[in-house]
Amino acid sequence: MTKPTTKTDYLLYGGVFFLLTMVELRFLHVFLGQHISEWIDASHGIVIGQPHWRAVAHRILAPYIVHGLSQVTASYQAALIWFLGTALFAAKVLWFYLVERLTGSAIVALRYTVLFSAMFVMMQDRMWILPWDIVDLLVFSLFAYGIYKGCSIRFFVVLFFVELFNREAALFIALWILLEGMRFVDPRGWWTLEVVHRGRAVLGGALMIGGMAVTKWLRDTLFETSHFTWVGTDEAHRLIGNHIYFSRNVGDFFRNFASLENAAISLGLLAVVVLLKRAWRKEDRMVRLTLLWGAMVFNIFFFGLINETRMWQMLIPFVLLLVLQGAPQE
Amino acid sequence: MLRRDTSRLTKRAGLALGFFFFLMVLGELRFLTVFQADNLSEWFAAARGVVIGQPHWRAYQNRLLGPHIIEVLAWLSGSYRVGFFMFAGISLYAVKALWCAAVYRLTADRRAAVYSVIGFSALFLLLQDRHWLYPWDFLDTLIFSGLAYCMWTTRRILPLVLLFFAALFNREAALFIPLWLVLDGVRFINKQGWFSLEVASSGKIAGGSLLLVGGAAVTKLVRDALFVTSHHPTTGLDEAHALIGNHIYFGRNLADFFVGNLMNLDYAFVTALIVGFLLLLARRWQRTNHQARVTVLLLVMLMNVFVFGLINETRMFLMFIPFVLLLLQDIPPSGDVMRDDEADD
Repeated sequence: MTKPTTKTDYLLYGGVFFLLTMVELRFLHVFLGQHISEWIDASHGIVIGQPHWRAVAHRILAPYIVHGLSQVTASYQAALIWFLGTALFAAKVLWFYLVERLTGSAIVALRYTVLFSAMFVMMQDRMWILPWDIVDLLVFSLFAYGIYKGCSIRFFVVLFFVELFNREAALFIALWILLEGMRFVDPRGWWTLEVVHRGRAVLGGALMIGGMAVTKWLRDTLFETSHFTWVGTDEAHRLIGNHIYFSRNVGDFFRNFASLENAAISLGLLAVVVLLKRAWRKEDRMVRLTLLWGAMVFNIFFFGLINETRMWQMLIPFVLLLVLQGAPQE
Repeated sequence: MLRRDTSRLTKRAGLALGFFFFLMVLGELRFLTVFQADNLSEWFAAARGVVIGQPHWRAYQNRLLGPHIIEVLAWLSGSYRVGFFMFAGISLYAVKALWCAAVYRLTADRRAAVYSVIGFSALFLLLQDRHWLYPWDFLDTLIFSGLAYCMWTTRRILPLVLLFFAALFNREAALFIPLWLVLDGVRFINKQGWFSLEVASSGKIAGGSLLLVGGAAVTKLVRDALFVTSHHPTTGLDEAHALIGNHIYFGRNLADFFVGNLMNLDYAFVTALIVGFLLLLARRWQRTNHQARVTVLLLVMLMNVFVFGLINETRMFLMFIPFVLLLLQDIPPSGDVMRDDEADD
């Protein structure tokens, strides 16, 4: 029989989250602080139509929040630090709340919140942390929770629209809605798809296409010129906006094994595959989750840089729930 | 609520756990090589300096164990950098394996043991200093894990004496081990809220005191015998610290703790961390002899950092990690430690 959680316990947990946030901020300031002017350029560039690349011009949510805060703090740097601190604290409180709702245990939730913080620190990139990365932590925590809790489609739709203005990773949420409309049948060992809920499948597909269109439109509308003079109007990425790094990433994946700095990245990826395999069950929701994982990892291999570790941070809630709960319940 | 996992470790699960720890070590090494890249040459110079009699300060000269192991590994690998990181990797891996085994023996719960190792790694990362990490800091995590385990499981003298002799050549913090022996020879009697002391084992008190004095003497002797000159030309023979070797920073630390840190985003967490640690001690307080001994030892260790260390050089708190984890996880002492654990009201 465990003791019920009291108000004092929650206050103490709040203190722990505050302390963790301070440690994270100190980490960012001490070890990455020399790049803060570059973070500011990257974030403020979006507000003034001069981001680093066309691919980030539509990521308006966080930069505009920071811009709004800067009207109060009178300095963009102070506003960015306030934003980082508040969002990191909120990410902890939210994650704690979600895990407590999933497991019914405050102690388990506390452990997994500390773990979240440790993974966040361990996965810091050597140079970049951008405001939309922190919003990603919040949105993907809710996304992973929604999948494990079996939340309604409305929940995912709302989340989609919030994330759409943060990062194009919103399309994964639309993909999940689409997958929720499918069933996977296994006649004689081969997988085939079957639409079981036409409404969800159509909605998911429509949100994906609509999301891409909005992203492209926002990029073309808001992007004036790059912050970097040598990039100019970024004509090289006019068509889809994103960069394509697939072959470089495949090469890095294997090269990493010979690098003390990056071996953990490739090995970590293999470890996640092992975790997925251990949780694997021939059930619809697990198949959907595996496909979603595949799409997210493939997306980083294709459009991201696998060694820019901040890109993996959106997977933290998924990894933690995979460890905690294994396959999601049907 | 997660169930206790009391199952025996199968070969396959053991391999998976070993791989997981390996992955964590690689993550930690990535952290050190990426975020401390600018400081590595100074770390190497500080470690080499101890071997050639030219450490940064006289106070470092007795910290022989880590630098000499690195020297051997560097000789074997043909590169000081490789030798240093082999040493770092091996000691980080060893502390994980040791701590996992220790917590498992204390709790008989595999899950609690793995969580504790993850907590260890998280605290190790979060407590990284902005500049320094020395070979003796790595070994400290091993030694103090051993001490914490002994404090929670046994009242025998031999394991502590063996640990003391290994620790003595790592850092003068070895003196906390005989201090524990002395404390273990004392009974705390609670008289209307005030504690008074009573001798429970004069052998332990005498032995502990002897090791304390002997350890301090050996430290002084080794420093004076091996110290040639400082690595920094401005420090020279470090005459300012010829008497006891160590620096005294109490006033500066107090000012940082109460004033400086509270106005600094980088260091406010240090003050909060120390307050949190004291709150944890208070929250776990029970009127038992074991608890009283643990509390006294940890307060002396904290006071030692305040007097001789720099509270804002966060690596100095690495030695507290195993104790904090045992207190956080609320792991009770076991074995013959329990038998002496009743309240003496």
